[in-house]
Amino acid sequence: MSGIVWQTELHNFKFNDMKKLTGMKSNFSSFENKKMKNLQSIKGGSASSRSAPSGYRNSDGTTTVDADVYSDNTPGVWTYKTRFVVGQATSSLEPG
Amino acid sequence: MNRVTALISLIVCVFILSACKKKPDIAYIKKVNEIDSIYRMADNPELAITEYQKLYKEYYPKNQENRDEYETYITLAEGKNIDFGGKKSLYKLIDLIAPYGNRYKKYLPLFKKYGIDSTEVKKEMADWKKGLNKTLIDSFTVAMMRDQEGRYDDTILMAKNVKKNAALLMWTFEKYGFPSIEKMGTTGNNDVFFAMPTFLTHMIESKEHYPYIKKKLLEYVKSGDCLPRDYAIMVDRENINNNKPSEYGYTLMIDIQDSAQINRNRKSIGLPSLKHSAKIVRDYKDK
Repeated sequence: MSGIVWQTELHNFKFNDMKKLTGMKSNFSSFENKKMKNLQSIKGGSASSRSAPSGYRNSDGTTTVDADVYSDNTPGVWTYKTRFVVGQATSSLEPG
Repeated sequence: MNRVTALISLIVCVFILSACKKKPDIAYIKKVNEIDSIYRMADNPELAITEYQKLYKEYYPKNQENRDEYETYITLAEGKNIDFGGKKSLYKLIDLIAPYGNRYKKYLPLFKKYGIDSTEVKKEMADWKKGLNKTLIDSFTVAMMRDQEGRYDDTILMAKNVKKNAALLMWTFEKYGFPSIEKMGTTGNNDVFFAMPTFLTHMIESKEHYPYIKKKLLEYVKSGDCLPRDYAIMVDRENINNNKPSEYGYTLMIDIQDSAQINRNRKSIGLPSLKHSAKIVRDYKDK
């Protein structure tokens, strides 16, 4: 179950947000601001994945957005899953 | 007589010193990578068990994220009816998995077999929690929330918060050393998650303190306090920001041009090779 939720979250982030964020300048829409300011992202509760985002201004004025995703595919075992990147660099590598 | 006493004292001292186990450091981590490769890549669990036995005669155990070496050792040895140290080793295991919530449940049958019931396991875990550093937990709960405050849209607030968090981190280094899972667990007050790789990455934004923090973190990697992965993720993020190639393979696949050099860099800080890491990730997904 937790794996499915995590995949869903990543999928949503990737395909819904990538379109909006790739190559964008820093003027994010209010919807995105609201989403990104959500401090609950690093809190627990019933969520089976937690994320902690970052944002970097690139030299060309665009912004690269990272979201570190932590998941508990094994319940109770929170592990760093991946850094998901949208912006200049658009790929991710899961750590070993 | 005095000479005899001195000689006996010397022998006793040498014996005590040789029996003292070492704190897991980068040499331990490199050895774990080798053993993990024997088990995972060469598929030779018997040799892996023998090597782990030698390792744990020399070092206190650690159970790194994604590697789970002590769990692997005990599980493999138990599966092959090889002595792993019985009850005494299982108590060490409880302390190592205590930060991870319900993880202990997986081992309840094994604990029971060696005479440790679930009440005793919970008590041991509660004792472990009591030993955590409350000051660090309180401080890093605030720091983690602060780290995310204003991200993306309020650059002035972000800069202010990074400055405060960098100051906290340096104060922690001076007073307590690296703020590790062993010192403060994985979550803080109100279940705030200690997202350490993200937190450390943001230290890059502190132009004033980052060079010092980076230098200290490398020392903590060598002493075994900071996970090599967390250090590597931070350094490679710095590389991305400065349009430099990856050093450790965490700047995303597009930047990996010289995998042999990256593997040498990874080895130097205790990370497995790219190929070995990929296998670890695949195995974790299959779990």
